[in-house]
Amino acid sequence: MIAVRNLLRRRLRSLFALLQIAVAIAAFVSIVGVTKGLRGQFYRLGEVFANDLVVQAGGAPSPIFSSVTREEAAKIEAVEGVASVSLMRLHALRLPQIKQPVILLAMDPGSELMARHEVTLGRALRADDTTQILVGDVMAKDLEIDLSSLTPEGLSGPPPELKVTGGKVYQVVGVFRSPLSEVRFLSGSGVMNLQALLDEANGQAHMLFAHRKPGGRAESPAEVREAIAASKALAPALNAAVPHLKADTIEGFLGGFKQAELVERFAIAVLFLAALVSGIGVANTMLMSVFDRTREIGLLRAVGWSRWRIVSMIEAEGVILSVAGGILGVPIGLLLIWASGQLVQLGWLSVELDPSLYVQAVLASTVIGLIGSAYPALRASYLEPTEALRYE
Amino acid sequence: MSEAAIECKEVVRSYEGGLVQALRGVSFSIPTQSSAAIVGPSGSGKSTLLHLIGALDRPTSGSVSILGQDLARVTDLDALRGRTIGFVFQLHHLIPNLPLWENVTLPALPLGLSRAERKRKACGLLERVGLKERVEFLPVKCSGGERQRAAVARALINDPQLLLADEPTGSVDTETGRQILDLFESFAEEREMTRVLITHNEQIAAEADLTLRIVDGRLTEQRRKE
Repeated sequence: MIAVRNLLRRRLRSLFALLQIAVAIAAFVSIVGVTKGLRGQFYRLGEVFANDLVVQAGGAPSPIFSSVTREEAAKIEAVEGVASVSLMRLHALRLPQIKQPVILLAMDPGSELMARHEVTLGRALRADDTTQILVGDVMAKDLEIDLSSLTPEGLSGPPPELKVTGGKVYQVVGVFRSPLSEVRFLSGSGVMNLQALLDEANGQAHMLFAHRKPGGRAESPAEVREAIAASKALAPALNAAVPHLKADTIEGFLGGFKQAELVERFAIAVLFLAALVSGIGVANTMLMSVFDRTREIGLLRAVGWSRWRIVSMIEAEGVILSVAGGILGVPIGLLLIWASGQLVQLGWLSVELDPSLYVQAVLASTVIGLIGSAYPALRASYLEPTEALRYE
Repeated sequence: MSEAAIECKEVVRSYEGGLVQALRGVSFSIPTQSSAAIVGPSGSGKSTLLHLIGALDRPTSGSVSILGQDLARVTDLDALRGRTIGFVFQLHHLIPNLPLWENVTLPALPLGLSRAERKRKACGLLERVGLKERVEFLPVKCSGGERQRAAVARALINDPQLLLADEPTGSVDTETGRQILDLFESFAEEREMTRVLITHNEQIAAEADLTLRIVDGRLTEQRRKE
């Protein structure tokens, strides 16, 4: 095939262009895979929390900047339509064995939120627990915690200990399965007794969940929509009960998660830049190739090749180069995801790599090749054979 | 030999908005199946004339007809060139990364022949020009004479009716040049082609049925062989 042989004539130049495209496609696969995974996890939360309202301080960009007290929780619970409330505080632990912090969700042992965390090994938390914690199955696995003393019936010996940076020691008394097994970050965290933290934090939790239907879970997209609409209708009453707090549905809460939104926008900008740079790389490579082969192109035109045939030849070279770069970029992207997994919070890196993503990656590289080689191809096709044959 | 294969009437070709006049009203006709030599000093307009006859360029004024078709009325000059005209240039213009047989088939690609058919034709022609053992060689592995012979084979792949050569012996030694011209002539006579050759060599020109002398863009002499 002439197109492939033409690319092999300038191997180094073709290789650099190919690597440029591979990097762009690697960025595409890793960023799209991760953002899709993250968004997928967030929106699957709707199935569990559609019947709930998330309440935090109005204007807080994220829960850690919010505060809610037990008195305020009682006022919310008294609103008609609210069956119960679950207070929650987020607590970060630093462990000597990993660089990233581990998040503990502090909740009341008897709360609806705690009931959604099914204990599979060891025992549930009790009201008098202080340094006793439960860990998610992902966290237990990733931290390689020895669970031999935890049985489905309870504890068969002293619980394993988790030593945090600074010297404090927690006892792992149980392992829980997250309310949604697909949402890995819920299982990548731990759970502890809220009161043990409130004693240290002036009695302030970060947020609360107002439950309309305890145990209620929406099973289908239609049910999710219906439940969220009902929750939304309840929000004004909650806002009126404690004016400086703001109640929102899970949909509104996640939609307002500014960091996630910013990451997604930044990812789109990075992808656009990567595509642009690799497109310019293809254009540059093909244009140099056309200059080098001016006399050959003149000869081909002289022996009867049409302009369209010349365009097809140059475009084919650009597309072959780009698709090869795209195919190389996919495993590089997977390698990037693996490397990222070593740097982020346990369970937070969720990736959705369905086959359509690979198809999209190859399509994207084809488009980069087609657009990048369009100008060189047109330039080649408009060379006058008489002038091209004289080109020095 | 009476019908005209090539007919030029008052052909003018100017460049730079008329500032440079390469051809100034050239008229002649070349009968079918005959041979013609174009001679003249460097820069006189010989190559410009050959390009016009070969449908590589269009005249500023006047008309060029080949095989009874006025080129001004032909919509697809690419197809016309590919099917009816074979070119041999001073330089072989072979593509360095393609073996000789693939170089020879380049004019046949737009015709849609199968690869096997193209290879069969190309190998047959390369055998005729004495390159049977070189069909898979890249041009860089061949001598100057071999490359030019491959270029002659390339010009013949589509069985053209016109064979145009722009100083085909200009880049090879005298003996190799003679061999190439003999090949050129034997193919042309065997396939009943009309051929036009640009040359600086008066001896070679004298062998043609018609000699056209171009000086400063004007046809100063038309001499028919006795």
